Formats: sequence, structure tokens, C-alpha cells
Amino acid sequence: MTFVPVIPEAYSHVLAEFESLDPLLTALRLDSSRLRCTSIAVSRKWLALGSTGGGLNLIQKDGWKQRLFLSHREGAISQIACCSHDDDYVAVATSQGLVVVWELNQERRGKPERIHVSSEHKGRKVTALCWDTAVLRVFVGDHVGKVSAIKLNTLKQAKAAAAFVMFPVQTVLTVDSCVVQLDYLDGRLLVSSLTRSFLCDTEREKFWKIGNKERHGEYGACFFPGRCAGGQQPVIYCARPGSRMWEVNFDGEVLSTHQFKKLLSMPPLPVITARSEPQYDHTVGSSQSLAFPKLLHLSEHCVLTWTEKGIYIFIPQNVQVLLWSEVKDIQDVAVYKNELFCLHFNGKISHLSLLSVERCVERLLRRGLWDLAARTCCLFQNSIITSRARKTLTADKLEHLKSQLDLTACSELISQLDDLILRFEPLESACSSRRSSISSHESFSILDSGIYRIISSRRGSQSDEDSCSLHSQTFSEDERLKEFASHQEEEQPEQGCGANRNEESASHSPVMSEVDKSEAFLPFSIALPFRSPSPLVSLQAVKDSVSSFVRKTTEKIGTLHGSPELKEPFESKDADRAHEEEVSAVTCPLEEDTEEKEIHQPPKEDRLQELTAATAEAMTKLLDPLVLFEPKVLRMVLLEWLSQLEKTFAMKDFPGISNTSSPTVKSNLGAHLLGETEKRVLDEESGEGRRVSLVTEEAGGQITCDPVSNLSEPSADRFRVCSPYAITNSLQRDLAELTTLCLELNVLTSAMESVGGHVDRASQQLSPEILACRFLKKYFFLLDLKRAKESIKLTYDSPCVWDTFVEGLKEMARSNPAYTELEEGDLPTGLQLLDGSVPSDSPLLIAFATRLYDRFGESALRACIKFYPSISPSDIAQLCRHHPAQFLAYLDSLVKSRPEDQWPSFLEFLLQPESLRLEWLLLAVSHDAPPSTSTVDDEGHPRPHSHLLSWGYSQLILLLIKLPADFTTKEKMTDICRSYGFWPGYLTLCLELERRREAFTNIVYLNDISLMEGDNGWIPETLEEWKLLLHLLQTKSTRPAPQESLNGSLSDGPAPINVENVALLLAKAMGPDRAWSLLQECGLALELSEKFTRTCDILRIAERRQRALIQGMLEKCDRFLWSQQA
Amino acid sequence: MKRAGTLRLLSDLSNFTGAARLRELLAGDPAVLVRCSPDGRHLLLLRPPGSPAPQLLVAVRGPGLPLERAWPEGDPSPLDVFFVPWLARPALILVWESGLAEVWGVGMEPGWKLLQSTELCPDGGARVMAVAATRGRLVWCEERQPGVKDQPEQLSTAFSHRVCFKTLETSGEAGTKLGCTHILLHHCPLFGLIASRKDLFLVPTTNTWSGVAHLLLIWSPSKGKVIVAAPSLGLSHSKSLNPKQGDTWDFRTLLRGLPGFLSPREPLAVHTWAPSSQGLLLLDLKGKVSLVQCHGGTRTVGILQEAPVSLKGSAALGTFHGTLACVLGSTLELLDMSSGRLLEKKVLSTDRVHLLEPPAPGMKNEEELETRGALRLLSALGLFCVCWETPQGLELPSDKDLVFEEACGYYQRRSLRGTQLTPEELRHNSMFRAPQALASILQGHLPPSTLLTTLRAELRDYRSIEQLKAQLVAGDDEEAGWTELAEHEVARLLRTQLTGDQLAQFNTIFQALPTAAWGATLQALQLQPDRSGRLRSQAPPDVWKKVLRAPTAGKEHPNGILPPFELLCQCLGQLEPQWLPPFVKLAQQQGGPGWGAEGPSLPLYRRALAVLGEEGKRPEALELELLLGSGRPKAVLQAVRQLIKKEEWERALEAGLALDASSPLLRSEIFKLLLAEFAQHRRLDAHLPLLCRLCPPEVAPHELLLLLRTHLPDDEGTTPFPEPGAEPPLTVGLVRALLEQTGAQGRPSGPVQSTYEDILWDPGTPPPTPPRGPTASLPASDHPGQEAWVPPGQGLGAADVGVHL
Repeated sequence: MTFVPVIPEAYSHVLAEFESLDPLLTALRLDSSRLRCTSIAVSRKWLALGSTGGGLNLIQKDGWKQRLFLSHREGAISQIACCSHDDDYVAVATSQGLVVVWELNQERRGKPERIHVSSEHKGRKVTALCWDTAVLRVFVGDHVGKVSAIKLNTLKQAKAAAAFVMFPVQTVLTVDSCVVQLDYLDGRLLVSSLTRSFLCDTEREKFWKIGNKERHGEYGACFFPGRCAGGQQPVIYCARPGSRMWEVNFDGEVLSTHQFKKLLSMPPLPVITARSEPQYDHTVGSSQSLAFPKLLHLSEHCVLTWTEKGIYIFIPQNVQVLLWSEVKDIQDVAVYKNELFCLHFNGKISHLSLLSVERCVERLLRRGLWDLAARTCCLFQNSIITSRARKTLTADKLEHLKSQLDLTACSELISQLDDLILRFEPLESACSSRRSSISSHESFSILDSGIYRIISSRRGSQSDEDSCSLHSQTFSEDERLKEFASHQEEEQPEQGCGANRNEESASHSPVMSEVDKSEAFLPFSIALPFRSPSPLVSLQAVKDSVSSFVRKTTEKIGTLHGSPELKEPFESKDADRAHEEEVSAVTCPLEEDTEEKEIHQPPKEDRLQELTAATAEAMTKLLDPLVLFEPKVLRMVLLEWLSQLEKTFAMKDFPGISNTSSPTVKSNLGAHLLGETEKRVLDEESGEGRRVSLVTEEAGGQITCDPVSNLSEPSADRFRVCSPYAITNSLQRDLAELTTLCLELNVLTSAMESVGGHVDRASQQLSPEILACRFLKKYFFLLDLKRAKESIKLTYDSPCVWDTFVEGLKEMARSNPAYTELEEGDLPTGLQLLDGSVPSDSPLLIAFATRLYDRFGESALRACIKFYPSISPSDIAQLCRHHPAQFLAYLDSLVKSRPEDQWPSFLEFLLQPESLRLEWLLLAVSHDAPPSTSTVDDEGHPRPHSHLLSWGYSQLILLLIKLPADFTTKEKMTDICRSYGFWPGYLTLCLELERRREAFTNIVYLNDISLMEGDNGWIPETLEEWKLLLHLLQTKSTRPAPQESLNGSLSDGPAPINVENVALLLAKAMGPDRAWSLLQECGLALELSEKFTRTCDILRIAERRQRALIQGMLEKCDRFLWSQQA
Repeated sequence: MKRAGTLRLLSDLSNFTGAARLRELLAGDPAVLVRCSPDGRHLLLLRPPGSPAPQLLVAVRGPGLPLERAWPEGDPSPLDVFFVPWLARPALILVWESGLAEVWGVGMEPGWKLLQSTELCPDGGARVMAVAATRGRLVWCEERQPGVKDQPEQLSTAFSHRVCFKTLETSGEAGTKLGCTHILLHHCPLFGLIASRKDLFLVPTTNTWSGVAHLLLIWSPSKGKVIVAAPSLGLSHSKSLNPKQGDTWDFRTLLRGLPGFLSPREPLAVHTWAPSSQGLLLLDLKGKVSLVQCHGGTRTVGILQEAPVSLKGSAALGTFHGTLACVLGSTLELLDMSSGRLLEKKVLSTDRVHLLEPPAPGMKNEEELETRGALRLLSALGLFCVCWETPQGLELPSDKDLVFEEACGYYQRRSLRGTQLTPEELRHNSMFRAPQALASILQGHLPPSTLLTTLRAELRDYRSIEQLKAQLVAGDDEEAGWTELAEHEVARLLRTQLTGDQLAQFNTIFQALPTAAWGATLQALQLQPDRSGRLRSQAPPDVWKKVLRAPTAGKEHPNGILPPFELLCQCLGQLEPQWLPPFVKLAQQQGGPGWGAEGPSLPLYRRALAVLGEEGKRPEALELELLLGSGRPKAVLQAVRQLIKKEEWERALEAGLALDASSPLLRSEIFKLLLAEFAQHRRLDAHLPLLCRLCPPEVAPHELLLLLRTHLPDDEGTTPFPEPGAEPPLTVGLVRALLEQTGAQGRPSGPVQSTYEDILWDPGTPPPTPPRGPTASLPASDHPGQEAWVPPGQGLGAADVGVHL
């Protein structure tokens, strides 16, 4: 036995192959030369293998047992892509260029179906396939550079899709050469061609080239998702020649270039595999200049790539090579979490895992590969002796390993192991103290990242099962369970409580997945303190105590929720009627409480009778137009009626509301927090969660809120969303109208009330906004919600009224099961849900939209265009008033949802009142705009070529600008465009307002002759204007050298405006001779080059030819006209 | 484009029937109501009640009878009169306050006829307050008298109005018929009614209840919608008419159902309402003009420089060509509708000006094309129109100018008049219609299709040239386009007389685009090389005649304009000099004998040589080729002399041998020259056999010896043998061969087939080395092929030459 070399550096990770997939390939009959594997893909559930025969094998990764076979007669499978967010979809490209999308119907246990076949790329070679990360959309790229998108309407989404009539296949873009790689993240598509990478915003259909420098050949690029916890933006890595990588931000700007050439000069790390002894050669290695044909995001922090020589894994953010290993002849690699499936050119597949060294050793131990484990330990002893690894790989374990080795065959190894054990570092003090502090806490275990996991029996060395410094989820959940089981088997002799443990791990698996999620969000260098502020962590802590509570309360709810109406969704076709019925019929969970209190009130029939009478009287009065159309009188009538209303629905029902003057006594903070957490837990636990928390609050009497002080936090306050009494439909209708009128006309407190002194003086002096909020809460169940929404926007300027109103709507919407379901699932699911369960004109839509917006932000707003006009732009403006840019995104989508020829008229229709024109314009030019330093120079003049900068909303801006408006508005628009440097708009306006001099001055500054060319060019129209332009050029040429252009050099930009170019235009417009004399007059004739003279010569010839043609045509015309006369 | 609005007099009203009455009415009462029929021919004037007779006048332009009506004092006079706007054949509707409505029309017979008379409010007790007609409907607003039975509750008179309409059926000969009555709106306040083409606007009047005077209603019968709008708030809501309720709305219910209209607002301060194609225009008391669009939205159009003085002053608003026109008293302001910019303000000479509504679209209008859609103003002085004209002098040359300039020449040639035509004259003179038509075609107006077909090819060419110009200016180096241009133009010019301007253009093309021009010439002359390296042409002689025409004696071409032949030679000399001699030779053959008769002119080779430059500065080889190829004895001798000077014996000999038997004199001249050389030195000895062949048969041996003797160098030395290094003297052995030749009188037998035959078929002698000329610096090639002669950068490969030549 030879001495095992030691790898000098402390490599933390290694690639290991624990199993061979050859038997699988044999079982699939993919091992012959005729039929072999051509493509590979992997998802959470499946390993997908395409074959030369057109077959697609889907094998369940868990145990390699279940498998599906999908056959294609359209040629060999050239590309496969599994949908990452829904395991039920797979897209496949065949050698004939067809793209087939399959729905596997696994959930429904149905047969797989072809749901789409695209022949968009027929006859071409599909070189890349990629799924959208949120919706069912596949991007396809081929060898000529065309990229298309297939939007799928599946059975699952049929309803949602019916509203969007769109072509299923769209060409997204066409790039200059073969598509090398596609990647998609958050609405952006990354396309890498043979020459460069492109970034494409698929929603706004904007494109960016990444970087200036081209490269030639197969270079990949991939997204690198940002980490939520760090608030980090996703970035992009693009391969560059010579082992370089560009780091590019999400907007396509190159941030930096990483050079890995030197770093790659280290010798390759061995792949740990049972098939051969790991070899390490110190001597091998020289700096490598490589081209990375594809980049894959791997295991949270890493980027993987390969060449014909090996596999390379980088931590690009630290400009670090994690490792590289020699794995030859790789055709393609599919990656899921830390697992790699490599397809070799000979059709073989190797399954590698990226593991920390100690985890690798541990797994080898568990498999009883003692020899290999020992070799790995020795090879990586520099990594093993660190304290980090020590936690996993304790001295006991190594001792055990040593004992398993054959004394005679492996004496060398054993001695090396002995050395290693001697060199073990003591465990870090901080770590051990942390441990001891927990040891008292029976039900927690600590993970490496500092997250605590509940287990009731602590099991020392096995507890950090999942720890991995890359804090990636190393195993899928299923695999972890599998490992548990196998581990148990392996260690049965020494484990007394194996069965117990197994059971426990099974029962806790969902909780653990929670932990893993939260773990995945945390940046790995930060260790959390023991008591984490994260609600999800404390959630774990309280889980046990809560679960018993939940059980109890759910029982209680069960009895409360006897009435079936409660769950009745808003399904009625006639929305108005449905609304009425709903308001009058819904039984509120509060009802029982209120009825208890009614003992102290006069019988409700009496009160209602009085109210009915007062309402009838008011309604009669309203019939008189002299009352209705005389606001003062109308207010009087309403005021009078309101007093009766106040009396009927006296505030005593709401101790929280009437008790306005008492200052809020915050209950014990801890308890409060606990309450909060509880609520969240419950929200997540069940759809009834919110209701439960209401009940518990009520019962505990914990939360007493002052509406005034709590306006900022209206959720703490409560709304009356359903009537305390049964009210007849007709009365309900009248009440709704009158209440809404009160709100609209700002009649918020009754005369009675203020006279009677029920309310203290402070409330009289309250601003109408606060009164309105209070009014809304009190009478929410009476309001005509649609109209109230309009009134609020018209009458009240304050956002708090709106917020209060929306809160009320939310409260009301909670009774709809769809509302709670919205909490889960992605945006399309949410929209689909809305489609199915909420009528398109329901006033509650706003509540749903707000919910979606809170969860998905801008993309939810964009989706809201579907609900236009039920949800209008002014609603959206209110909704996202803290993020005006998002309103723009909505507006942009809304306008563009119409056919293009209707954009102006539709936008004009939306622009009511007129003042919005300027507001929206201001918004549009100030968002997603280039910085003013790049549009305006130090003297306030336009920078050259700055009109070519891309503006996020340039189309919208131009639409706004081109709409007819009055002179002052147009002038203001001009000023706005100028001050923000939106030159295309500025020039358009200048010319519209006949400020031609100004326009030409700025065109000269912009220095792009194409502004003056073509059919839409701005060309001088009179001799005077030509003279002006020439004069401007003269003065320009006397100025110091032109300012540098935006991207550094002027040479690659558009043709500049200089005397020569303008002279040519002049020559075309006026004829060469007249142009020449004008140029002489301006003293510019000398500056012209030979090219000008030559061009003039040719122009002259052209003119003569035109004249000759005119002669010919004249003759024909003349003849024709004579013949007509004859 | 700086445009100026101009007022043009369309008619001084004299072509209207009843012109005098018309003028009188227009000049008299400022409050007179003026309306224009859809066809634009009829004018309707109604004087307010209490005016002297007649109160109603309908005047017609052109044929037709006027209608005059008067109502005696005390009798009610009509509330309103209007033409039915959608009818081509004019029909009038008169409506009285009492509800009486009369429909008048023009039938087949001349004159107006009462077609129908009906009561709008048959139950009485109602007064018609406003009336209007939209497509297919007559709409009115009536005030119900209080106490009428169908009113359950006592309503204030302010809301006792209702808006009703009757369908207006127009059918055949019977003309117009009013159908049954529908009620649109109950319990509404007093509304004024204004009809646009599609919609009806219900607007508040000064008498409208102030609580609702801030809003107006838009009824779109076609969409079945009522829109309530409050322009001052930017607020509008639309309600669909419910067919179940018989299209009737209660005004109170309508408003109560819509948010935002019941809160206190200021009434609209409107001075004048006016319908327009985009919606309803309203002028407020501050001079602001707003537009209420059909969808209910309101926007400001612009602000007038002069605000209306008071409610009483008259104002009229109208739109045309995206322009808003507003007549306030005697000022006319024109504003751009899209930017609100004041385009022009004009002070009119009278304040009694009426804006006429534009004729309905699709109506046959007899007026000129230009005034279509223009704004028409009517005053006692006449009927005017406002249109935009481009002021003279500011305009830049355009296609139009080219047309008229060319037309001048065109018509001048056909004109018998001595006076010079000017473009201006043509532009404004309607005598020649072709230029007008062509100018409008070039500006994008569509001509009759037959004309378009005949012009299609030319138009396409014209446009493509225009495109080419744009490309050229944009710096596009698309040579192909220009080549095509040059080719077309050369081909065209070669079809003309090729004099004067044409020749100048010919020159320009050759200077600017020599390759393309030469290529086109090649095609025109149908030049083709044959195997022997000569050129052939199948072009008709008259083309050659044009090309070869000598410059007119005494008339020097100015500015270096060359005659065609010189131009071609020059071009060829620059591009492919090796083809110049064959070309000149071909030209000489084409020239023919008859042409010399035109006058003594230089031979072509001289002309070609002249092009190549001054004597002594020409490329020698080329000059030699030309001289040798000329076939003129003098020239050939000159060439041979030059060859001898250059000691190119073989070529000199061959030049002599090439001459056929037809010019024995020249041959012997050459022989003599060479013999002289032979006598003097020994460098010709190697070529003795050729010299022998050249020897004229008639020369006797003694003559030969005599000749030799004259040229023998003087015997300087007396030594029998030459000094070492010196040239050996002429020996008898050498002379013998010559003497034998002469003595035998023998010449190589067999007929001489062609001039160059012996050269071509003698495999031992290589073809004459082409002159090296300017490319002499090139390494001498073993195969002096043509490619060595293609000037670099001209883009003509050897293959090209082969094809073209």
C-alpha cells in the first residue's frame, strides 16, 4: 500500500460519485451504440434522458424506480428542459427542430399529454431550451440565433388564459448567431450567442447587449440569483475568453471582469469514487486559459462550467475557484442543487455530488467504503483537521474508521490516519459554549448556520446532518429521509433508539423543510444569535405550545362555523344583487358576541323601525330635485338621517371604537409578540386563521386600540363588515345609498351626536380624513363599495382614508376562501383563483389586488390590467403610491394591452382630469431613466448622442407628448423633457411648437445626422433655417473639441453632424448648385472634402436623369390628357 | 413650414338666388341665424321673432329657387330651423315653440315644398325650448306645464323638462317623415341641445338650475349610452341605456347613481358651445376653449388672446384641418388643435361674420379641391374661405419646381409663340394641364389609374433615384446603385443627339463614374472582342456617327467638355489602355468614307493621340500601337522611325511586313529605313531573314547596293580587320542573302490572308509585347496577359474584360 499524498491546501469541497448510473442506462436500454443518450435534464423529481431514438425517459430520482417513457417520432432528442417550478412539465426539442411540451399529469394520475408542439424552429437545430421561473413559458433558441417563447395554456390554467388572447408562440428576439445558452430569471431572459450575450426584459420587451466587446465561440452565461436576506440583486455571469468571467448586474451593465486563469493553475482535485483510488499529483498544473461553453448556477453560491478536460466550480462573488476536477468528454451537465449529472459524449452518465470534504467522508463511512474514506481523509487532511469539519467528523468516527481497515493491507493508511487524529485542532471555544448553552434545551439542535431545529432527543454527532458550509440544501427532502433510513440500518448495532428516531424524523419533516428554507435565505457568513428575531425561527420555538392551542381553537371554530352561508363565495352573476344579499345575509362570527351585549339595548326591531322611518323620509326628500341638486339642503337631510343611523348602530357595540379617549395600554410586549406570531402561524396553518385570531383576541381582551392613534396601523382596528341586525333588502339598498352619499358629501358626524355630546370635543376638531376613517369603519357594512371607492378618490385627498377603505375590503374579502388561498402559490395561480371566484366587477377586487400586490409587487400590478376597468388606473395609483414607478409599469402595460393604433386615444381617455398629463409625464421621465449627467453636459446642453439612451418608458412618454394639449401644457412638457434630458420628446415638442431654432440648436448638440435623415427626419424647411443650421455648425466647430460620447468613443456611434454631412443634406434638398452657393455665402465652401464634390456630381447626374424622366412623363401626361379631351 | 392663413373670396354672393336679400339680411341684423346645407349650396337665414319680413330666407347658389317666408306680427315665429344634416337633397325642419314642426324639401320640381307638418307635443301644455337633429333623429327639450296629470308629485319648474326625440325617416320620393315620439330623459332641468355628427350634447343654459349647471350629458344613440360629464372636474361616467325601460331615464335617478355629481360645484361659465368633428367645443368667459370629447373627457384646446367681452357678444367656433377657428366680434383667431399654439390672428373688416359648418363628408362638392375642408366665412361682403398657403420665397425647391422648369422647355419647343415661358406662368396658368397633373402625382396624389399605368415605370425610376440620392447623402457607399444610374443615363444620352447639355452631362458622367459610364457605352456600342484581339461592333452606324462626330470647327467646347470620341478614348486610356488601339481601329473602320465629306477633320488616331496628351508626354507604347494601327503611311513611318530609334528591330520589321501589298510604297519606305540601319551597324543581322522578306520585289540588286552604299559608314580605319571591341563591318556574306532575294525576285508564295496573318500563325514569334506604359515597374511576366493591364482598384477582373470586350 502506498503512501497517500496530502493535498497541501485546505480544500473545503470535493466532487464525489457515490453511485453509478450504468445499470440504469442498461435497464433503459440506452447502452448500445445505436441507441444512446443524447441529452439530459434534471428537476426536483425527475432525471430526464433523451435518446437518439426520440425517446424521453423520465426517471424519478428518488430510488430510480418510477419512470415514464415518452416517445417522439420527430427525431432524436436534442434538448430537454424540465420546468423548475412545476415538475409536471417537460419541454423537449428534437433533431428536426420541433419543440414538444409535455404535461405529465402526475398529480391526477393521468397519462402524459403533449400540450404543445411548436414548429417555429423546424428544420433548424434547437440549441437551448429554458423555462420561465414563474409561468408556463418555454424559451427556445436555435443555431441561427432565433429565440422564441412558447406560452402555454394548460388545462390547469385554461381559465386564466382565456382572458388573455395571445399567440402561443412569439419570437422574442433574433440574435446574430447560434444561441449557445439561455437562462431566465425574474422576467429577464439571458441569451448567449457566439458573439455576445443579450439580456431581454420579456415583459417590457426591452433588450440590452451585455458589454461592448464581442467574443467568438461558445461562451455561456447564467443568472446568479440574489439572496433575499442580503437584499442583493441578482447578477449575471458571462464567460469570456481566457478563463474570464464578466459580472453583470441585472440591468445588463458589466460590473467587473473576473480572471480565473491563474487560480486554475492548481492541480485538479480527484473525484472521489469507489471505482478508482483518488489520485493527486502536485506537479501537474499550469495556468489554464479556457473558454467556458456554458455556465450553470450551482448550489447557491457557485457557478459550474466544464471543458473537454474537466469540471470547474467557482465562487464568483469571491473570485475563487472552489475546485476543478478532471472529468473528460462531457457533452452536457444538468444540475439540481448540489447534484451534477454529466452526460458524456459516449452517452454515459455520471452522477456527481458537490460535498464538503467531511460530509463526503461521512457518507463514505456510512456506505462502508472504509478504504476510500480513509484515503479521502488522508488526502484532505488539511481540510479535515479544521474545527469546522471536526464537528461532523469527530475523532471517534475516525477511530472507528481506523478500526475497520485491514491492518495488513493498509498499514500505511492507518499510520497516516493516526497522524491525522493527533493533529486535530481543539474545537473552537465559541462553538463549544454555544453547544453547552443548548444542551440544557432538550428540544433544539443547532445547525451550523446557527439555526435551531427541534428534535426531542439530541444525538450528538448526527445532529448536524445537514450542515454544509455552503448552507445549501444538500439533499432533497426525500433523499434525506432515505439517508436517515439507511443510516439507521448501518448503525443499528450501536443505536438503541433507532425506531424512535425514525418516527420522529418523519413526523418532523415538514418543520425541517421550513428550517431549510429559512436557512437558505441567510448569508452564510453571518451566524445568528441564539434568539433569532426571525419570526420563522421563533415559530419553531413556539410550535409545540401553539399546536395544542390550535387544536383547541379549531374545535371552537368548528362549532362557530355551522352556518353554510359563511363559506358561500361571491358567485352570483348579478353583482349588485349578490352584494346586497351578501351584506344582509352573511352571519358574522362576531354575531354571538354582539347578541350577548344586546341585552342592554332596546330591542333591535324598535331601533330598526325608527331607522326605517328616517330612511324612508330621507329618500322621499331626495326625490325632490331641489333637495337633491342643492348640496346645502342635501347635506342637511343627510345630517338629520345620519343621527338616526348613529343612534341605531350605536357605538357601544364597539368598545374599541367608542373608547377613543383612553390611551392605549400596550400589553406585555412579549405576549403581544407572541400573539403576533400566533396569528401568523395560524394564518399559515389554516384558511380560517384570521378568524381564529379574532376570536382569541376578543376572548383575551388583549388588544384595545385607539382609532386615532392607530390610524397609521388600521389593521389593529376593526371594521363592521356585516350588519349586526337582519336588514331587509330594500332598506339595505336605501341605507347603502344614503351612507355612501354621506361619505361622498363629507357628512360624517351627525348634528345630534355633536350636540348630544356623545363624542368629546377632540373628535369634532378632527380633520375630515380621520372622521372619514372612523365613519368607514363604523358603517362599512352599509356602504355601496364601488361608489364609495370613487367618492373617496374624489373627495378625500388623504391616503389614510383609502388605506382604511382597503383594509375594510380586505376584512370583507377574508370570508372568501380565495383570499386566503392567495397567500400561497404563485401569481398565475392567484390570478386564476381570482378569475374563478371573484366576479370581474366586484368591489372586493381591490382587496385581492392589494393582497397580490403585497406579495408580488410590480408584476401583480401588471396583471391588474386584466381587471380594467373594474380596477382603474386611479385605484392602482392609490395602491402603489409609495412606489410611483410601479404605477408607470402598470400604466405602460395597460396602454399596451390595446392594439397599437388605439394607444393614443386610449391613453387620452385615461387622462382625466387633464392635469394628469403633466403628472404622468413627470413620473415617466423620472423613472427608469438614464442619469442626468449622461444626458446633459456641464453647460446644460445635450450631450452628444444622448438621445439614443434607452428610457424605460420612452414609448409612453412619446405617447403622452404627442397627445393634443393646450399651449401651456405643451410648453411645460417641453421644459420637463429638457430638464430630464429626454431629447426625442423635447425635439418633437420644439418642432410642434414652432421652436425650430431651438430644435436645430439641440440637434447639433446631439450630433447625430440620422436625426435629420429619413422620412421622419427633422430637416430644415426654409433657406433661413439652413443658414441657421450652417451657422450653428460654424460656431460649433470653433468650440473646443467635442465632448466625449457616452460609451467612450465617438467612432462607433452614429454619423456626426458636421459641415460635410449637412452640406450633403443641403445638396440633396436644394440641388448641388444652389447648395454650393449657399455654402459659399456662409463661408463654408472651403471645408468640404472631395467626397462632397463627388457626391454633388452624382447628385447632378441624378437630377438630370430625373429631369429627363419628367420630360418623358410630361409627354405621356400631355398625350393622355389630350386623349381624354378627344 | 411657415404657413400663412389667407382669406380667399369664393363668391361675392351674386351667384346666389336672392343675392340682394341675402346681403341685406346679413348686413342688417347681427342676431340673424345662419345655417348652411350639407351640400354647401344652400344658405338659410332666420331672423329672430319680431323682425321685419321676411324672417326666413333660403338662398341657393346656382340653379334653384329661393324660399322666403314671413310670419305676421303676433303670430309665433319658428324657434329654430335647420337642414337635415345627413341628406344630400336639402330638407328643412322648422320648429315652433308650440311644438309645431314642418318639414320642407326640394322635390323633383323646382322650388320648396312642405312635406310634412306635425305636432311634437300633441297633448299640449308643453313648450319646446331647444331642438336639434342627429342622424335619424329629431331631438327636443320641452318644458312641461305644472299641473299636468302625469306628474304624481309637484315638481319645481326647474326640473319639469324632458328630452324627447322622434325618428326621422327619409325614404324615396316622399322625402322626410317624422316617426313616433320617445322620451329620453324625464324630470330634467332645461338643456340646450347641440348635435354633432354622431352624438347629441345636452348642455346647461343660463336658465339651468345652478345645482346641475356644472354638468352636461352626451347621448350616443349608436352606442346606446348616456355619458354624464363635469368638465370642470375632469369627471365623467357613462351609463348604458336600458332597453327594458324604453330608453328612458329619470334625470334624478341617473345622477344619484353616479358618484361625484352631487357635491357643490360652480356652474360652467360658458360663452359659446359649438359642435365639431371631435366633440363639443366650449368657449368660456375667460377665453379658454375646451373640447368635450365623445367619451366624456375634457381637454383644453387653447386660450384665445381676446376673451369675450360679455355674454352678449357674438362668437363662433369651428374646426378645419386640425385648426380651431374662432370669430369673436371682428377678430378671427386660428389655433393649432394639437398644440394650442396661436397660428394667426386676423382682424376682419366687419364684425358680422358667420362661420359656416363644413359640408358633410361624402357630399358632392362643386367647389375646388383646395377649399374642401377649409373654413368658410359668410358676411354681407361675400363668402370667404380660410386656407393655408405657403408664402413665396420661403419655399425650397421641390419636385414641383423641377416639373415646371422642365415643362417650360417642353412647351417652348412646341410653342409657336416667341415669348419665353416661365415656370411661374405655367404654375398659375391652367392652359397646360400636364405639368399640374404631373406635379400633383409626384407629390403623392393619385392620378387616374390609366395614367398611372402608363407612367408606372418612369415613376418607379424617379422614386428610386430619389431614394438613391438619400442613400448617397447618408454616406452609403452603394456603388451598384450609382452604376445603374450611370448606365441608364449613358444609354439615354446615346439615344439623344449628344450635343450641348447632353454632351455636358455625358462628360459629367464619365468624370464621376468612369467605369459605369464606359460599361454602359460598351453595351450601347455593342462592342465585342474577337479571338484575334480585335474589337467588333454591331451598333447601328448612326450611333457611331454620333460618337465619332468631330468637334465643330472653331467652336471650342467650354469647360473642358470633350466630344464623345475623345471622351471615350480618354476614359479607355485610363481604364484599359490596351483596348484603346483596337477601339480606335474599330472606330476607323466604322467611320466609313462618306464621313470625311463633312469637312476636313483630323484623323481619328490623331484625335485619340491628342487625348493621350502632348507629344512626347504620351505613353510611348500606346502611341506606337495607335500609329501603327492607324493605317496611314505617315503615321506608320513615324512609328517605324520610333521603333528604329528604340532599336526594336523585330517590331519595326514586322510593322513593315504587316502592310499588305496594297501599300508597296510604304513598305519600301520602311525597307529603306531599315536597310540604312543595316548598313550602319550589325544589330539587325539577326533579323536578316525578315529584312529579306521585306525587301520589295521591284528593287534591283544594284539599287540595293546603291542604297547600302549611301548609308555605309565612312571607312575610317584602313585595317582589314576591325579593331578589337569595335563592331565588325558589313560583310558581303550578309549582303549576299539580300542580293539573292532581289535577284530571285522570289517572294514567299501563297496569298496573304489577312494583315496580321503571318504574325498570328507563326508559332516561333511571340505576339507583340504590349506596351508597358505606366505599369512598367511591374515585374515582367512570362505571359503578358491582360490582367497586368487592369488598372488596380477598378474592380474589373480579367474575366470582366473578357465579357465586356
